Amino acid sequence: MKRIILVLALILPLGGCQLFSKIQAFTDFGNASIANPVTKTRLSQMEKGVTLVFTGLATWKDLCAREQINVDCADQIGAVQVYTRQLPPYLTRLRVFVKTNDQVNAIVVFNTMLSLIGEVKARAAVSGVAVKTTIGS
Amino acid sequence: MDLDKIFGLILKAADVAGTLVSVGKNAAPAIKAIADLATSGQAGDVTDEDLAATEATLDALIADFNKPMV
Repeated sequence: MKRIILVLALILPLGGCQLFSKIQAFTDFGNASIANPVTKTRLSQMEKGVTLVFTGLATWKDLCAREQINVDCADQIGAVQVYTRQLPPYLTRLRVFVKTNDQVNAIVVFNTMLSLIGEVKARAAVSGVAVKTTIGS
Repeated sequence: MDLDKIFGLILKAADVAGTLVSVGKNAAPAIKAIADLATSGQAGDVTDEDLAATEATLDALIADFNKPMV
């Protein structure tokens, strides 16, 4: 019960002006390695974290489309999309490698995706959008 | 992941969901992520069905964001 009250207390004071400062999902994936392989559980945690990231990015895009934020937001979103458009094929391959336990390739792709997500965060941050995505341990 | 860390994630995810609601956005994906995080603290290994559900949500979000601005 205490937890439910705490969550509501966090939600109620939020205002639209706080939008981007509040879009922060704290996580920390950490790079994959042979000693730290990409298990199904780890893949799942990463995908959930990235889901939160893209929920935030979708809100940014929507507010931009409705002309509720800065006029150059479309260009900024375009710069971020350069990186987000590279993600789907990597994600597809990563899922296959994890499910077949091909750790050598899974580790390479996982770490590549982390780099891309890092670029997304950096580009969004330049545009004033805080998308903290340190996901995991 | 230990339960304290998961609870921390849930609170931050709730922050995201609350913000989405406050600006009239669909918070369903964020709320689902919260539920997933909450249950992941209790569950053991992730099943293929769990993964498939997460993947579908994420794929849709990525595809939507990657569409050109109109």
